Amino acid sequence: MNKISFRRADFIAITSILLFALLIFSSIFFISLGQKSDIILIFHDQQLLAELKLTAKPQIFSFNGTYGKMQVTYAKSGVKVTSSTCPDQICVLHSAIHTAGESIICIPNKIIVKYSSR
Amino acid sequence: MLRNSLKKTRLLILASLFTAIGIVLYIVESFLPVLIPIAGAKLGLANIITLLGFELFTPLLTLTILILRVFLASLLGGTFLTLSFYLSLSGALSSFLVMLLAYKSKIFNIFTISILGAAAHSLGQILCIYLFLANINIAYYLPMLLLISIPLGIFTGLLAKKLHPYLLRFPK
Repeated sequence: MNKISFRRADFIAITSILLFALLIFSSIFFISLGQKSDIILIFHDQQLLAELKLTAKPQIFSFNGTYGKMQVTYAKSGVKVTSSTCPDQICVLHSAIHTAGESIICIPNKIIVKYSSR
Repeated sequence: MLRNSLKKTRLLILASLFTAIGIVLYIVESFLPVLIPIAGAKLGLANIITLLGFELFTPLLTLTILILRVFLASLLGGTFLTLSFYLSLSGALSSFLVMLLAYKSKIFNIFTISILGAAAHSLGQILCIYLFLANINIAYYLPMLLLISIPLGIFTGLLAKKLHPYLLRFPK
């Protein structure tokens, strides 16, 4: 363990991780490319909770998840989770989503906020 | 006979120490603020324990330390049998499996083993979330997590490499 050298196997492993990440990213990108989106869907535990039409003016939608209250601010310029009662606040820290296929997921609340193209 | 039991005691103490250090690292890490606003990205300091465990213990003992760490840390943190407990368990088990295979194959250096472990950790967690939420949208988080696993894996690998010489100084 004292001598560190990068050999071929190391490069192959790291490159394959990079390629795998790129593959998933590009497949998500291309699937959502042709879709025009002006709707966001909010799922709670696999059930559709709300379907919100996007407008130019920002609007606020409040609802309850498994853990507690959540608040989503949505507009054509982007959709963001503005507040949540969950302990880790990852959904609140998540940057606003703009294109179809993107989503914000709150695991404690079992909530998926999805930009959609229905 | 005496020699043998001394060896056993030493192993037991080392394994207990490693479990305790793992729990402390795991809890201290949860106190750190989220520096990177990517869902689920964290340092993975407790991974160092697994990496060093491969050098010191048998795979079975390393796995025991790992599972004990996950159970005890979740009991202390109050997340036992909640989703975050299953998340850390699935991440820990998948990263252990991948790192063990990578370690035993002897073709990778410590950084790559650590990177592979970090990548497997996020992959295992994503699979676990998929089982819970049954929504393929969760795959959206995977590319970022895989990308971030490379610098974070190098970081934990570096720490493990720096700590390794000190471990060899333990009285035999």
